[in-house]
Amino acid sequence: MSTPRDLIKRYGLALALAGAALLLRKFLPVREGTTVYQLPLVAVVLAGWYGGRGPGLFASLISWLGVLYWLIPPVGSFVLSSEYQLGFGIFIALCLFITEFSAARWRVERALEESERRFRLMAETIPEIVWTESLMPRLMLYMSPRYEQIWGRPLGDVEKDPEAWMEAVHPEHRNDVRSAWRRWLAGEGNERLDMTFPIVRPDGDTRWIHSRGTLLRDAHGKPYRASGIAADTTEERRAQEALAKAQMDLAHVSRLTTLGELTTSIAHEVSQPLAGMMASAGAGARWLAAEPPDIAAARATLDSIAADGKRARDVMARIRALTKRQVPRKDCVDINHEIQEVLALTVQESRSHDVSVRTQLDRSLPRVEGDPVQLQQVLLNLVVNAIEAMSAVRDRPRLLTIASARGGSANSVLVEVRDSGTGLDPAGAAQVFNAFYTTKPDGIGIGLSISRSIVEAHGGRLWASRNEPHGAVFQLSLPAAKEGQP
Amino acid sequence: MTDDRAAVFVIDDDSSMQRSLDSLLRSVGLDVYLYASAQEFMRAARPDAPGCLVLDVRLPGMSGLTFQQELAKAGIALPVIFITGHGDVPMTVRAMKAGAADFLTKPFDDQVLLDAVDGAIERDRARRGDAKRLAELEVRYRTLTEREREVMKHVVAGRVNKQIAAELGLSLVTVKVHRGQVMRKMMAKSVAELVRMADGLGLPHPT
Repeated sequence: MSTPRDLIKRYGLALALAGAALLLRKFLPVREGTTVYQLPLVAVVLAGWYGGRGPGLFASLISWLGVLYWLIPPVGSFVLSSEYQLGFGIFIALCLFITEFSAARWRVERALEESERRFRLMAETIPEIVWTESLMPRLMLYMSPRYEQIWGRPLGDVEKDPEAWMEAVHPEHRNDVRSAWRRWLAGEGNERLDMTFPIVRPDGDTRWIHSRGTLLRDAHGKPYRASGIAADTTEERRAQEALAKAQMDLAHVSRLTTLGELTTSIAHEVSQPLAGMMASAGAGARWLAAEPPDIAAARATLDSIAADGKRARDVMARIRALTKRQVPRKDCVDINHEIQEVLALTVQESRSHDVSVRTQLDRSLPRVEGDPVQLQQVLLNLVVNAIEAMSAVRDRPRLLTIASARGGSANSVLVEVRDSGTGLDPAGAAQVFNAFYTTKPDGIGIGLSISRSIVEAHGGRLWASRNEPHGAVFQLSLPAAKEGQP
Repeated sequence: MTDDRAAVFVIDDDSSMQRSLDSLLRSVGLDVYLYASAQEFMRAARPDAPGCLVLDVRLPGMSGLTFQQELAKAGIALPVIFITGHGDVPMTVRAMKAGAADFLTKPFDDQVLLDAVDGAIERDRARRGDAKRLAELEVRYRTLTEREREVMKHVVAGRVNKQIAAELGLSLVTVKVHRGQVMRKMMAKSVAELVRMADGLGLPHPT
């Protein structure tokens, strides 16, 4: 803190002050009534004031020597005759006292300066805007210059009008922001302010601002000061959006991959009603061509054709729902319904793998909040995995059980997918949710990893454990939707 | 030969598919029997009539191919027409090797199925005719005495009476009587016909 330059300056000043005092007293015409001590005392005061204790003592020392040598008779020697001893002693004591006194002031000033310097260093270098505002009267006491960078507007505006920053808020949000802000300043809202809004800079750029603040209240509880920080979260937001999009794309790819594994079964599922329709149509034509035509039988074939058409349409609708790439929705989802949809889609798959499917669904379950397509994707993944895990099983029934129930805490829903397959070893159980971990020869290993992130994005959990005596259990719990939602 | 009404046995667990096949096959005058599973078919009492089986390769509980083996074990010789959701070549080959009458890929033309069914029923009718004749032959053969069977064996082998008499240590007259009995009991008009009958019965050729 004390650079040599600074030291030289302070001691030089002390020297100059003391010297000037001595010279003035020596050579200027001195009026009656002044003592030899007055001017040097002033010099000591000033040296202590502007230089601290060291320079104060230095000025004192010079003054003592100078006064003794030049001003107190006999002039030109350091001899102190007895008549001057008391006065000179008082002078020495005064110098020491004054030095202590003014050096204390100097120290306080330095400390203040340092504290101010530290505050500015912090306030002006952190990437957020720091501000504090007086409320009675409305006056912006401080706002860090970062404001000019983020808002793209001069700080002077805010110094003139503490609400000038609101002019930049996106027009769609401006009224909301203003009323929320004023409610908060009036002490009517939350004690802590926390809001996010977009601003439009003069260059047309849009930035997202996250603003937080606190209030200080007087003895009557009335807010008199507000302060806070405002951060530019645009990049963070963009990164989050990009991440969400990447996750959505990956989930979509994973869904298509899972559906790809089911292609054969789905083709069967579609060709089944088609075959039915063709057979029915052939039958209908023959019933009508008979002598006499059998109208009732022909009509029955038309009913069959219509029923098969509806069935094919349902299959298509299920697949279309899963192949659509869409932004996740927040619906109230009946998890039992989603389980049924997934089982309908995999009925052929389990049939061709000789897997018996059992369901134990609790019909009184609350709904869960989430995206039906994504939840179906998770269930589809678990079901397909379970079926494949059992394809090597020869010595016991291949049994897939899907159960839904209330979770441990009443406001959650638990779904279990249980198989009698080869099961998980402890290392596998820990790894199955890792991306690119797979036990399938042609698997990519993203299904379970994505399933887990989907479930976690829904505020739930997905975990795996061993099924006794054979196979694996995958369990997922999801929070129930809040009461009063449709 | 016989004018038994032909019966088609459909095994499919898909009720709407069952309904369609039922209507199609009945529309051409066939009797249709529907089963949801192979087990149900095995348990059910079936009419003794020429017919064929139509079944989905992917049956619940038992694959179509396993079922084909079960049928053979149970001595049920009905021709089998497989229906499959996709043209799975190895599966087709195995089914055909195991004696499937036909293999249709869904969705198939109604006429293709009907032709396959007709063909299978014709084959079954022929097989049943053969089986019936064989059964009659067996009945006749069973009426022969031990000695007559021995004589028949030598006749079929192309030996003349004198040789047979010498071989069996009988008189020529006795051989002639036995031979007449064989021809009468077996209802054979000629030695050639008797030879064919012996072939049909799978009698061993004397060396």
